[in-house]
Amino acid sequence: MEYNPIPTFLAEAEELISNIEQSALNLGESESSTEAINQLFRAFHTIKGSGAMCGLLEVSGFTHHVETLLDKVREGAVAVSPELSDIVLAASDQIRLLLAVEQGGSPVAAGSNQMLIDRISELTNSVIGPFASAIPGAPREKEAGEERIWNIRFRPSSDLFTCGGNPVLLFRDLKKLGNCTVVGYTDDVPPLADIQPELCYLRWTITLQTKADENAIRDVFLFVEDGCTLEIATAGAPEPERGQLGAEPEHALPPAQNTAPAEKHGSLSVAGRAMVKESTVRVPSARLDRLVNLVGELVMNQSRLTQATSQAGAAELLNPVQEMERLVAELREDVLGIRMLPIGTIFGRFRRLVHDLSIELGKEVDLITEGAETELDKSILDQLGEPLVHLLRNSMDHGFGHPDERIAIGKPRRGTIRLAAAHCGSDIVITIEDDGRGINRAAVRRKAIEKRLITPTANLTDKEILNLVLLPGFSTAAKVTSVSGRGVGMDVVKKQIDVLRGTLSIASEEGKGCRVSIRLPLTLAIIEGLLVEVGAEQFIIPMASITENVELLRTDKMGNNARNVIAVRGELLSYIDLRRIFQTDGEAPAIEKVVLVREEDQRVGLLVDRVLGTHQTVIQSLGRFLRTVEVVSGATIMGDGRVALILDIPALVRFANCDAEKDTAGWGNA
Amino acid sequence: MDTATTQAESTNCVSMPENTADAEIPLKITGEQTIRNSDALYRSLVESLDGGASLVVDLSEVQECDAVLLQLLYATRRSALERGRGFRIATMSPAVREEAIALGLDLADLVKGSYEGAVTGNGI
Repeated sequence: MEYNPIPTFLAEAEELISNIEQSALNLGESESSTEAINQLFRAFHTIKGSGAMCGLLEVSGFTHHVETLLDKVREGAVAVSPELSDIVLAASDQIRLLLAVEQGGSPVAAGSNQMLIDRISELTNSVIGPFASAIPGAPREKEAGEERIWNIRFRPSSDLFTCGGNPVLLFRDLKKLGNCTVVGYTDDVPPLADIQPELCYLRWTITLQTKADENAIRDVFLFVEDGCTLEIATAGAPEPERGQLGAEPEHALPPAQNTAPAEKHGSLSVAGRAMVKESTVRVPSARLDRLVNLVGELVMNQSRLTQATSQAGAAELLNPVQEMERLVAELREDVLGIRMLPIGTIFGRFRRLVHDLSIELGKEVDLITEGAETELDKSILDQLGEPLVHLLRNSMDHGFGHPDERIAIGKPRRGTIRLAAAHCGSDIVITIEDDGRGINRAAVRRKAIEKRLITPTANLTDKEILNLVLLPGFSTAAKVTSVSGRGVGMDVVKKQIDVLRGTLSIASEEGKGCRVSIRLPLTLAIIEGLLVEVGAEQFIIPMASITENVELLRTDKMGNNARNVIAVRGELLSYIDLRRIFQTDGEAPAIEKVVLVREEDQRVGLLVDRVLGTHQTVIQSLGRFLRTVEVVSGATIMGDGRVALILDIPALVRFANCDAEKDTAGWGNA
Repeated sequence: MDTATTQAESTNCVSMPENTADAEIPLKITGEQTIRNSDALYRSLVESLDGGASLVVDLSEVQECDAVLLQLLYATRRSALERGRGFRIATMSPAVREEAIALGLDLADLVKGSYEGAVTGNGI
């Protein structure tokens, strides 16, 4: 089957556009402007080149104009300005739209391309003068226009040829910049027995006499720089020691002195300006999911094998099975590790969101992100974007007043939202904290009464008042805006976090700000649980929500008039009878167990026949037909082949609440 | 020494005489020699080297080539020297010469021993 490069390009372009947005937002910071401009130029250059190679001429044609503008900025001919930043962001949006067309999206608005190209051209032509450096602190390499001699050392990635790279074409491009002498080295070419014909073992030193600057030279190598070593220095720069990239050519050395490629590479990595990129492989996430599922099945099968071996009493199988168990555990860890991604991959778009909303709402707000490197399972990350977007929108819309309003109450003109992520045990905690108005309890209470969510006489704790904003249909915004205030947000956020087996809490001090904390498990694929039994059925209760287990004697059960409550150290707690919820057959034992779990500051018991012990399990989806079953979040296959359902505690509590409303003799009457 | 070779009908081929008992084995490489057919070339070079004599390579009819061909020639030379055998390029086409120049490779070592002849015969 013919290889289609377009999907790869689209995925790569999406990443580049995210990087472009970050770099464009960094343009205002003087110390990083030079680097930001270089990154922008390279990103647009790659989109242009790869787009053209894939036949997406509209994308490459449009991108060419942005590249021209950025080249002028690099030269110092066009100033770095907020307008430049806006144009770059608008251009990245336009490219995204053009790429969406390739993926079956609707065509871009007629004339929008040209309008943007006109804006870009206008800025490109607004040259600020031949001797002004547009980028603060940028070296004025091009100002003097001096011809210099550059020494370039280039060792391509070994897959240069298989990736379609041709060094001859690179050297031809270098020759366009000036006088160029190329010397190839063959000392790393192995004997015939060890060579893989399609790999590249050659390296080069090039002497280039040109007026072009380092960026222009690097641009020549742009498409081959992955995994390559590239050193560029002016002729005056200190020479690397013998043995590094610039060693004498092979034809000057007897074969015996040839150094093995691996050893050579070691010395290369310490070269001062060497640019070695970590090689990566782009894999569709569906394949990873399949891999995780297969490992899940392997883990469960391993568990069955262990149990069967132990039951059969086959001593000779014991060691191999144990070894297999160890390997499967390692495999599981590694495979789950592959799916872990830094949360910073979604932080990027939030900066853009805050930037755009600040303009739209006439507010001045900065977003500070912390802990972008914190890793989280991709499946959670994919579902986390929308709730965080909504929380940020809420904060921008409700939390902050206009700058004058802030100054009037003695606050800095610019507001701040801090978005932080950190690991905390086996969880990740994400905090969104602003220095805005904070939550007005009186307004919340008034609104809740108005919406009949509480009675006027309800006696609520501070936390309960704050949690009212998480109820469906709640909104204190005086008017519905396009940003938030439709009253459908916070409850959806809460529900989504519940789906991810996480918790959400709100803290706020009026006049000082608001903090929303989200605690999530690192992965949804594996769960540490407590295995319990009710009749012939087994269930898994997520360990994270369990606080303790207590016994319930039949006599105590009857003593409370069958109102599902239990006294634990003087405190009356409600419990949910799993036998009743799941309509399990059989008689309950004389001594039952109540597993106490914590759900939103409320302690609830789960009544079971027996507690069998802890169990680390791979979560399997229940499939399409059972998707609507709320009280379980998945299932797992036990060692003996039986299926155990994994309980979804928040959903179970909600279900029991509804059940109790229908049947007042049910639980929760304590 | 028998240097007669059989020209295959295909555009790219490697041909050797059947008699390999002589001190030098002539090896003629022709047509297009790029990464696309590097496996075939590799196998021919390995077979030639296993023939037990020194290799004399004729590249005069190579119409198109890339760095992969030149790399393989360097690898063959290295293997030949390790086995104490000779290796040299007798003649080369303009396509090979131009590729070597563009890559900055000095083929002097590869043509050593017959350098004069190569220059005379093929204008290196």
